[in-house]
Formats: sequence, structure tokens, C-alpha cells
Amino acid sequence: MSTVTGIHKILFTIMVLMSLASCGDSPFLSDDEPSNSIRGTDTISTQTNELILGGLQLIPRYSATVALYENNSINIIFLNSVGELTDPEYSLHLKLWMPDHGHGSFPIEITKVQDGVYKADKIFFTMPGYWDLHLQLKDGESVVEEVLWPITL
Amino acid sequence: MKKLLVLLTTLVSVNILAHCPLYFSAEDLCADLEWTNGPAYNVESGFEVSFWRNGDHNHELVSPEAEVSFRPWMIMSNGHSHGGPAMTWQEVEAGLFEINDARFIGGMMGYWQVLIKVGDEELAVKVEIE
Repeated sequence: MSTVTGIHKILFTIMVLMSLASCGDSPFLSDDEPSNSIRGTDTISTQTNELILGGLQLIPRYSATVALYENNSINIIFLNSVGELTDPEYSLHLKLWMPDHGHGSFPIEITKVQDGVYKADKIFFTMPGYWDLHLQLKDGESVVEEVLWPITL
Repeated sequence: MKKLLVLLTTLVSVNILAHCPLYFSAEDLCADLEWTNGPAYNVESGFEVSFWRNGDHNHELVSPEAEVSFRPWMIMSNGHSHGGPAMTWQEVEAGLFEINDARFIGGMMGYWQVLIKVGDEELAVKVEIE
């Protein structure tokens, strides 16, 4: 019996020593903010006002950190005045433009995820600097309304 | 005179047979780029790049030992240059690389190149878009 108790004591001591000697914080005790890839980020934009397009609140969110030259995507949410997901009256189009250099980028692909939620794909930044993301509502080829979302890389 | 003519013809023939559009000296390899789709502005273009041993008239495919990569590059008329949308590639058979997502943005003041890198050597192919 005393032998068993002795082994328990040794095992307990070894476990305490191992936990003290281990490096790094426990993932269960972390106070870190969730990563941007989980949370969604708009921190690369200087836009602080609410974006309104077609009478709806427009919320753009990157699903991952934006990278130069890579295929970036963005989720766009439209909310009505009572906070319900709502489609705009006209079709949504996005266009990247670099005003200082006077050129755009590759055509952005938009797919509807559900009512009021869209995914924009193939957003390519070809150089660091200031870009405007033009969020447009179009009736055919005519731009009915647009807002700009400034982005600096 | 006849001997000189034969010599010249031989030299020209050898030169033609030793076709080497892109020469990577570190591995003594030649390469060529062939468009399979496009090239065109603002849509996805495709191309293949093949490698063979320098001097091999049969152009038998050889896989480079060093890492191979591809990227677009814009040479601007103001003297500056910058990159473009990243492309992906697959070595579909030893020495033959396939790219199906080359994207060349239109409306820029300059011309695009495809940069082909083998190890530390990088060579450019000008993209001719009508």
C-alpha cells in the first residue's frame, strides 16, 4: 500500500515539474483577440463612416488578411433599416481603382451567397499604395449609385 | 568557295537545330513558352513552358533540378515596374509546366512580361497582346 502511495507521489511530482518546465501559454488561458482570419477585418481601410448604398447599410469584410498579388476575397452584407439581410434593387458590381496611378485591376467576380450576402472574389492588388474599391449598383451598364471604400496596402 | 558554302550551310543548320529561346545557364537548360489560351487582357490566359537540355535537337523534356516559378511583371512606360496577379502552375510531366490562370490587367501604360525563374536565374518573356 505504502509502495503504491510512493509511486503516486513520484508521478505527481514529475507532472508538476513537467508543467513548470513546459514552454508557452496554455491555449485555454489565452487573452488574445481572435485572429483576423476568424474575425474578419477592415483595418486596412480608413473608412469610418457607415456605408450606404441603394438605401441599405453596406458592410464589407475581408475573410483573411489582404495580400499583394494574391487572390483576395471580400464578403459584402446589405442590411435594411431594421437590420434584416436585404438584396439591393440593382445588381452589385465592384471595381478596384488606383487614383494616383490612373489604373484599375483585374475584373472582380461577384457571387450571391444568400439574400443580402455577396462574395467578391479575384481582388488583386498589383502594387502597394492607396486604392479605392468602388462598390456600385448598376442597371445594365449604367451605374445608378456608388460608394468608395478606401484601402491602403 | 564550295567548301565555304557547305560550311556556312552547316553552321546555319546547327544554329536552327540548337533552338534555345530561353537559356538557363546554371543547369544548361533551354526553355520555351507556348500560349494555350490567349494571351488576352482581363480574362484568364494559359501557357505551357517546356525545358530541355541545351543542344538537344530533339528537345527531350528535362525537369529542372532547382525550383521553378512563374510570375507576371509589368514594365511601365514611366520607367517603373511592378508585379501582377499571382499565377499557379503544375508540372504536368517532367519538364513541362502548365499555367491556366495568368491574368494580365488591361488599361495600363506599359507591357506585361512572364518571368520564369529556375533557382536564382530569372528570364522574361514579353506578352504580346493585340
